[in-house]
Amino acid sequence: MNFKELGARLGLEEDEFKELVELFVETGAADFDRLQTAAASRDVEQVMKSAHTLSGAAGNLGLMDIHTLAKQIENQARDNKLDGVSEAVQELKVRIDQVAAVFGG
Amino acid sequence: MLQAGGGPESGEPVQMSSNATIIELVKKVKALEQEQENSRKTQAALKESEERFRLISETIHFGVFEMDENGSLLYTNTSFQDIFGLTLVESLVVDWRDYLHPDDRQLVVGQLEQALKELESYSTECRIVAADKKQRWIHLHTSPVFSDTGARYTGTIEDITKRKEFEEDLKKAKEEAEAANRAKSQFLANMSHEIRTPMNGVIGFTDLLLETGLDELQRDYTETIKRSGEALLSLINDILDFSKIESGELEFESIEFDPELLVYDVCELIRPRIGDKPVELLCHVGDDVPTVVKGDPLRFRQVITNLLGNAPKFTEAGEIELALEVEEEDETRIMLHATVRDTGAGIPSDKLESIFEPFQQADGSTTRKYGGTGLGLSICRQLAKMMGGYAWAESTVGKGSVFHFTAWLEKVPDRPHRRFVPAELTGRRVLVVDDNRTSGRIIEHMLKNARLEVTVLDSGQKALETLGKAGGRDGVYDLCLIDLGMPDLDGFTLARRIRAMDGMKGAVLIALAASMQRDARKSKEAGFDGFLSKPVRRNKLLQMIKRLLGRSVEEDRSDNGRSIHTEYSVREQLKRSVRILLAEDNPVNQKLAKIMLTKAGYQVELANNGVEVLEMMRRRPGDFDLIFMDVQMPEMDGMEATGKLRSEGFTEIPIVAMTAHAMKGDREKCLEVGMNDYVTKPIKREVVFEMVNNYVLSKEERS
Repeated sequence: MNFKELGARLGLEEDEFKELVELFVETGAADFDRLQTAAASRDVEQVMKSAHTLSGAAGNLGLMDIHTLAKQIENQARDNKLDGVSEAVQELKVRIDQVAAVFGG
Repeated sequence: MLQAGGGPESGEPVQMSSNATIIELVKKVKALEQEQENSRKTQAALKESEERFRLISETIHFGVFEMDENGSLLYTNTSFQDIFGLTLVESLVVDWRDYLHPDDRQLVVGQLEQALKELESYSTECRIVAADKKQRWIHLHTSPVFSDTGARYTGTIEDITKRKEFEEDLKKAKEEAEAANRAKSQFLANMSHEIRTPMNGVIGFTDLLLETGLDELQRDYTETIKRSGEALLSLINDILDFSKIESGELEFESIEFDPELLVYDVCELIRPRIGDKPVELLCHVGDDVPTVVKGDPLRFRQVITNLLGNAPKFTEAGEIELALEVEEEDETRIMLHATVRDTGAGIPSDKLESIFEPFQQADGSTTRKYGGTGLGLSICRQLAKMMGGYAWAESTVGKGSVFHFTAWLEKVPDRPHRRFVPAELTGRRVLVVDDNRTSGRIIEHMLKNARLEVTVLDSGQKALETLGKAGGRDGVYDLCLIDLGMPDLDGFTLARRIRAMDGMKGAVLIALAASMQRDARKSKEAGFDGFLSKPVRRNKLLQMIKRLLGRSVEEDRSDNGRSIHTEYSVREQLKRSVRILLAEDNPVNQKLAKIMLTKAGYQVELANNGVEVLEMMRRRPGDFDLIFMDVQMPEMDGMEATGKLRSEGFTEIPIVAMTAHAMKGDREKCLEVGMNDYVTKPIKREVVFEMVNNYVLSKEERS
C-alpha cells in the first residue's frame, strides 16, 4: 500500500494521509462493530447505515477494496437480501485489519 | 763507430728521430689546415647566418630593434626606419621616444622605464607621430636579453594603423547602431504611451456608453468598438513588450499572488472569445498547487492569457482545457506547469518550433484570417525563459495541440487572512489627480455613479494647494487617486509630499499607472496603498476602494511590510478571507475536507450535524460566507437544517449540499428546501472554488 501515492491523489502529504487513515481505522472499528452486531441480528436499517458510513469514508480515502465491499453490503441490505452477508462482513474485517496492520496493529 | 757515432745521415736512432719529427710536423700542418678550414667554414657560416639575418631583418614586415638598458637604440631594421620615417643613422642617434604621440608619451615612457628597471618584457599599443608627421598606431613589444656585458633589449614594432582605424570604425558603427536602437525603443515606448492614452479614453467612454440604455443595434456597435479598441491596445502592448525584450529592458516584479485565482480569471477572460462555437472551456488546478506564490503575476498571467487566447481561434469544436500543476519544487521555489490543450486543427511538426519565432505563424494566411502580430508566442517563450522555465508545443494534425508553459516561482509561507468588511462608499470624499482630462472624467463618472463625492484636478501642484487649503484636517479627503505619469509633478513625488503633510498620513492613496508602468514596488515606497493599471475597470476600482477604506487600524499596523494592494491581490484576499462552515458527521470525511479546504486557502469551521449548524449560525450570524452541508447526518440532516435556517431568516447565506451518491431527484429536493447548489463527495478543490466563486466572490464583485 503506497500511502504517498494515495495521498498525492488527494493532494495530501504522506503524513497527512497517514493521519487520516489512522482516524479511519480508529472510527471504523466502532462502525464495524455496529455492522457486525446488526448483521447478526438482521437489523437491515443499521446494516445499511454502518456499511454506508464505512464505504463513504473508505471511498474518500481511495481505499477502494474496502469501499466496494462495504457498498456491496449496503446494497444487499437496501434490497433486503442479507443472505451471505456475514461472509462479506468477515471479508471486510480482514481488509480493515490489513490497513490497520500497516500502522503496527 | 763515428758513422755509427753521430752524423746526421748515419746511425739508426737519428734516422728514426728525424722520421718521427716529420710525421709530427705533417700532423700539425694537417691540424692547422683543418683548423683553417674550420675557421673558414665558420666564417662562411657566420657570414651566411648574418646574411640570412640581414635578409630577414631587412625584408620582414615588422620593425626590429635592439636597445640598451637606457632605451637608446643599438640597431634598427628598414621596417623600423620606415615606420618612424627615419634613416638608419637618424634612428640610431635620435631618441625614438620623442616620436611617441604627446598623449601617449608619458604613459609609455613610464611603463617602459619600469619594465627596464625590473628586467621585464613589455608590450603596448600606442600612437607615434613619425618624422614625416604622419600619425601611426604601433604595437610595441620588447624583452630583455641577458649577457656578461649587461642587459640589452630586443623588440619588434608593428604598424597597426589599419587595424586600429578598422576597430575605430567598428566601434563607431556599433555606437551608432546602439544609439539608433535606443532611439527606436524610446520612440516605440513614447508612441505606445501616446497611442495608449487616447485608446484608454475610447475604451473607458465606450464602457460608460454601454451603461446608458442602448438598443440592441447600438449595443452591438458599441461592443464592437470596445473589442476593437482592446485588440488594438493588446497589439500595442505586444510590440512594446517585444521591443523591451529585445533591448533587455524588461523588468520582473516579485509580488505575492494566487495562481489558482489567476488561471480561473484568465478562463473567464477568454471564455467570451469562443462565441457560439460548440467548444467547452475547462479549467483544472492541481490539488497541490499552493494558494500563494511570489513572482510577477502580470507576466505569468500574460503568458497564460496568450496561450489560452490562441486556442479559441483555432478550435471549431470540442474542448479547450487550461490546467495548472506543480512540476517540481525545492526548499524555497516551486515550478508550475501550465498546459493549454485544444481539439483544434493541430500544427504540422515542422512548424512547431517556428511558431515561437518572432513574426512567424504556422501558416502565412493565419495573419490575414486571425490577425495578431505574430509576436505572441515569441514573447511567451522569452517571458517563460526569464522566469526560469520554457514555452513549447506538441501537436497532432487533425487532433489538436497542447501548449506548455513552465516557470519558477518563490514559495511563500501561508498565513491566515483577516476578514474585512467592505466599506460603505456613499459620501466618501475622493480627490482624483490626473493630467489627462479624459481619463479624469472617466474615473469621475465611475465614482459619482457609486455615490462618492469627487474632485478632479489636473496637476500635482493644484493637488498640493487644495490639500494645503483644506488645512490637512483628517477626513477632508478619504482617498486620493493619483496618476503616476504627470508632467509637472509625477505621482511618486506627489504621494511622498502628501504623506509628509499633517493629517494625511492615514489617507488612502491609490496609484493609477499607464499599463506598462509596472512600478508597484516603487509606488509602495512612495507611500501608496493601492496600485491600479489603466484602463481602470469600474468594478476593480470600487472593489479596491471598499477594501482600502474598510480596513481597520489594527490591520494597518499588521500590514506593515506587506506588498501593495493590486487589483488581483484584492480579489485574492477576498478569496482567502472566505469562511466556510462545513457540516459533516463522519470524522474521516470531516478531517479530509478540512485539510483540503484549508490548503486551498479558505478558513473552515466544522459542525457535526444540523443541530450544531443552527446553533453556530444563531450565535454568530454573519460569521460565515458559505455552508457546505452533508445531506445525511444524525440528529438533524442537511435538508431539515436548511429548511430551519431559511425559515429563521438566514436567507442570504449560500448553502451547498454534499451527498455520497447522486440520485435522481436529489438536486431538485435540495433546491426545494432552499439550498443553492449540490455537489457529490468527495468534494474536490475545483468544485469548491467554483462554489466560492459563484456564490461569494462574484456576489461581492457585483455589489
